[in-house]
Amino acid sequence: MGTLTRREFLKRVGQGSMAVGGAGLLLPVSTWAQGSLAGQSIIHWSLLNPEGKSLREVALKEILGKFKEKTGITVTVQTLPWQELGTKLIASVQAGNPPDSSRVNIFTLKMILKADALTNLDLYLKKTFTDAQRKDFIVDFTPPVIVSGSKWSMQIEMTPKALFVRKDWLARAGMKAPKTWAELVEVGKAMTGGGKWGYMFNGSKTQLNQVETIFQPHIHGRGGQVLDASDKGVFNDEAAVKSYQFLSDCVHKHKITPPQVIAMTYDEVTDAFKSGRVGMIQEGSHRYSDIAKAIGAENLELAKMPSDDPKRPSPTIITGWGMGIPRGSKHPDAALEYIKYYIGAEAQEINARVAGSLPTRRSTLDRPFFQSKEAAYMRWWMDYAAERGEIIINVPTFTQLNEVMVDALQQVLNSPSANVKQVLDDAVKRYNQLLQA
Amino acid sequence: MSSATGSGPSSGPDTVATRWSRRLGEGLLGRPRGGRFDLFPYLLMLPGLLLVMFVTLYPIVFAVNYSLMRTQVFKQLAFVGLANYARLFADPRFQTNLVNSLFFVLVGVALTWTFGLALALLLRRQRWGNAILKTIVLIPWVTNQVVLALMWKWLLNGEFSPINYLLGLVNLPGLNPLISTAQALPALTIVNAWRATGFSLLLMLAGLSAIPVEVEEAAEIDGASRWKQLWYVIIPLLKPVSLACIITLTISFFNIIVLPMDLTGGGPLNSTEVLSLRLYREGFQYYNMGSASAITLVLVGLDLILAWAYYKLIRAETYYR
Repeated sequence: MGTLTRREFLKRVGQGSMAVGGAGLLLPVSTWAQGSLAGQSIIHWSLLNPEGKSLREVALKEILGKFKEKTGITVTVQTLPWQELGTKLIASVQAGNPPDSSRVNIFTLKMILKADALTNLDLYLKKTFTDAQRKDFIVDFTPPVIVSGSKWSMQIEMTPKALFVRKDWLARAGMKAPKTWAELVEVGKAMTGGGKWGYMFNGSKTQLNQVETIFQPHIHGRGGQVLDASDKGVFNDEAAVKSYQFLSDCVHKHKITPPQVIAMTYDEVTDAFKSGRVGMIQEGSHRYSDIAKAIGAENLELAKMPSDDPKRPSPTIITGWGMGIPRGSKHPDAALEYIKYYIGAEAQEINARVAGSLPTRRSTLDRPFFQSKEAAYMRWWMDYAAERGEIIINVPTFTQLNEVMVDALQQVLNSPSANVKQVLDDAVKRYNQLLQA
Repeated sequence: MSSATGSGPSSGPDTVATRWSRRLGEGLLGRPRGGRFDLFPYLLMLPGLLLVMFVTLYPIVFAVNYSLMRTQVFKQLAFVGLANYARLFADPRFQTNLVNSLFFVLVGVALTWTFGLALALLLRRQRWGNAILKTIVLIPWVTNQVVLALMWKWLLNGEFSPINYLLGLVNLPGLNPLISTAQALPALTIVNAWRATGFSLLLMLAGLSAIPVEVEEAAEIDGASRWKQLWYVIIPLLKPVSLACIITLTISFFNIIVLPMDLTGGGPLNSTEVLSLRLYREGFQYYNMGSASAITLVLVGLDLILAWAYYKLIRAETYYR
């Protein structure tokens, strides 16, 4: 290499500084993978299998490849059913054999922390991120994810929910996507027939933790509450009674929902929509791409959750996965590198471009993909989240809350003449007794 | 044999090898030397014994300990005596779980044994395609229960079931048992019996092959009808095999989780929630270790009662004495 002139030297230093400064907006303060971390191998628990065929899994594979390229760290993914990730994590920590990092669902976070199964990330975050970077999140997950004043997981995905509607069925019926629950019934009636149904929701206990998300937009959208400020159950108010009655009426009175929903899981409802058995379901942004691929994006319309007031939609319930380091992780530093990369702009863009997952970091939105036409629908989700976003309830007894609510739903669906108010009074009493036990 | 007579392995020079060989022979025969207690066979058994004790006794001690405590996940907060048991037995849901379990196990075992015997009687003289037929019956037993649950969920789904489609072709009403509180448990029980029939079939075929042909021929010469041969000759002679089959299935059915969890989730309205499923929920979904441990011990108690009954029945059995 030849000698540099003073001018050339200053120019290069200036370019380097600009590059570092620019990257600093997107990347954490520390550099990628310290020398000592390269060559390490970590075990990561996920609901996704990098060898799988869903778009989210395809995205994961790309992310893992890029991460290894960048850091030299190998991530071995162990795949578990999503509904069992939290509980298995607790068991593995208790058994002294946890993974190095794991996905953590926002609604199981507090139960996992009750079992003291995660590493406090405060020290890592302080070392790694600037204050500005710590605030660089599109939706403020602070209230639900800060527990005992500390942070235990980083949000990697944001998943708002909306009403997924078959656009082609709407066109055939000459109707528009419903804005109110009454309109949903009318659209549902027009869609129902010939083995097809207008509206479906999941009423089985098999994938228990996905039941509450049905009720939160219904009850909160009608001005009621599921839990009060002290986390006691109050889902027996007028709004809750109306919500349960509405779901029962969809089955028994309006006949736009099959009685079968009592035995259907969240995944089965999604599959029914993908296979053209139902015209409207409540679904999350994380499954948009897979559904669009199955039925054709031109046949899929997104609508805000209906309410009783056409001018104000029901809230979109925002859930999503975080990533944490289990207590007893053998490679916490390498695991942190993985988390850093996953919430970095590159991985978030891959997730969005390939799988349609919404990013959590505001700075990611500056990437070229988010300016493209293909990403237009993502802006719809983000606008809705900004307008009526509401983080999912996350209490340590979330599973029991779901169970009590789904038991009440099954009672109401099983018996058309059930006294809904009485059923909910009993359910609330049962849930609150459980809190005292 | 051996050292007592001065013959056999100990008759040569008394080397270390021959001493060990002698001790090994004596130990395996379980004969005390010179009237003294011989520790050696027990030393040989020790590693296996410790392993078995660890994987059986430790969980029981763990469960007993936790069942007497108020817990927060795995943390023991306070000793509460028998309060967890008292709360459990006063809980109507637990009573439903118990009744569901008894129905699921007793009816399920009876069906499995009957299906297995019927198929074994059909297949034992069948020569053509015997291996293929046996394999077909065995497939559900060796298939992952999640797969079976998903398949039956689809088959029994009132909306999308191909069975209902076929029934509709002949103007028969469709099935929809999984949404009915009255039909869901029988449906789950039948599906599980279908799953386990392969196991029962194998045992019954083995039992039938051990029955001398002459016995059946003698009954036939005496004028016994086919039904009487079955009732008075074959079934009594199959008693030891049947008991082994019944007790194995009973314990297996009492502890099953995956099939009910994935087929019905315990619903509708807990009508298919068996004890093992409740135990899974208390232990690994709610992390109520106190309640989960109490349920575990109730299940262990039921299993022990059945093991005792099995032992008694075997002892009372007379045919092969």
